[in-house]
Amino acid sequence: MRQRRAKTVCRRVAAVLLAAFATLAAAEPVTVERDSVVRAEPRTDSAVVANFARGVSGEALARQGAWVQVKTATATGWLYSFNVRFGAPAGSAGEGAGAGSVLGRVFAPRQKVNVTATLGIRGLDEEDLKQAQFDGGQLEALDGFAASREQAEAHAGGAGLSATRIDYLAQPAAAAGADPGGSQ
Amino acid sequence: MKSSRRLGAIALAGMLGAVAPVKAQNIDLNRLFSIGRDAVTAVAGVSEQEEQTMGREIAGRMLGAAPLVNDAALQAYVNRVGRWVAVQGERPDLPWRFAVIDTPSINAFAAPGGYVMLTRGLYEILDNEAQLAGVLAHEIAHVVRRHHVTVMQKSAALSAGAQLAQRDNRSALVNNMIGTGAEVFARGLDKSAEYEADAIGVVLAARAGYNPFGLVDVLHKLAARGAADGSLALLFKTHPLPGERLEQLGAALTPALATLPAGRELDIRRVAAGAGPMRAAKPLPAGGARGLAEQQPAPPAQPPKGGSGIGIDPGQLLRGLFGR
Repeated sequence: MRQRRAKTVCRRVAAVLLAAFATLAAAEPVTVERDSVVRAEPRTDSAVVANFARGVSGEALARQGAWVQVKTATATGWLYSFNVRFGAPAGSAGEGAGAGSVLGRVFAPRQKVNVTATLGIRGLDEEDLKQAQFDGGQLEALDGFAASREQAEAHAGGAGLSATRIDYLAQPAAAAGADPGGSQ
Repeated sequence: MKSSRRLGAIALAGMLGAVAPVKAQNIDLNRLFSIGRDAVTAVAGVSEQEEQTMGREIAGRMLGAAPLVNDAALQAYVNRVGRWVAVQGERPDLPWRFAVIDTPSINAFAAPGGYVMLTRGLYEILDNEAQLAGVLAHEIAHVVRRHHVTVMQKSAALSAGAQLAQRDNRSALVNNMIGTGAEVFARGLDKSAEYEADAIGVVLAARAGYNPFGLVDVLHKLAARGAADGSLALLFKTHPLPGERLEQLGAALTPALATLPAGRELDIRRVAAGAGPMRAAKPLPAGGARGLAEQQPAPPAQPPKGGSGIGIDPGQLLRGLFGR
């Protein structure tokens, strides 16, 4: 069961996984969430090539940092990834052969059916948290895995990570009314 | 008893600030609280030691609900990544503990004092170490900003009036705070605390040298899964929807985008094939963890064995929790 589920997870996640790379091997469906300016290059000083209205769907071709390259029926260009949502739009059939199966339905995105109750797959819920009994043995095991600051620094050094000074983000004055991602 | 109930109602009215059945006029809450020094300490200032004691109790209960994934190398790995990210924040020297717990739910939890737990369900959808760092950084931000402590303080303050009647019983008041700890996980924090943790998390991951957008990637994954996914039920109940979080984070990030370094993504360590829940009654730190380690792990924080620090009796704590 776990193996089957893991395989399904892998398949389902594969498309999203590819999004981590600059160029996507296969286009991923994407829906524009906010009216957005679309630029020729993934830079704010790049030329505006189009405007995508909220609700327009297309394909994500590539990702770069905060940017995603989207191709729609009318144009192709870069916009902030905050302004799009990945996956098939709500109400669509999900993807591929798995969509009709029970597991396929669970992992298919944005479907409006509530399958939680009909499936055995269920993790922690409120009741579990309320009923939880203290487990000292687990806690001691956890202590054994703790990393010292030196160990953490050694890990970072080995992975080629180095610390950089970066200020915290300024909180937007009125976040709800703010203008993320160069939208219009 | 009667009078303590009345005091409780008065305190409640004070905390809610406005529409309450009992008016708090002519009552100076500060003076009221100052009556019991212990109560003031617990409500107004929780020491780091107290935070750790509470966090350890909460973490122990969480592990009782979902044990560690039985993969020592994985747990050691997550601790190194997590500690490296935590070092970038304002509380680098807490006794940080990071865990992958064995449940298919997609979620992550932070308890006061430096305990961070990530579910296997969430871990397994991560693509790279930058995404792991982003998720851990969000939880680290909750600890750094003491979000859960604040929630527990508010909750405890609501009944502080009642506690004043038994102000010599300090542990009862602290119990009251911990007792709400599990409810913190079940009910979640304020939306603003989640947005703040997202914004801080991005920066902590970036400071650690990771691609700053790991957390953004994960939020996109959650958004794509949507509300129908049962493994996300608790997460969606306790957090703003991922789409809203992306919107808020986008607004906060946009002015800073040009200044954020590209960072690294790095391969993530996979869960060992066949690893199930850790079940040993009192498992030893497995050889894998030490084998990877060049140095011994930091000594564990003192567990709350009945009387450490603030004199908490675990049995009493559990009664505090279940008595609600």
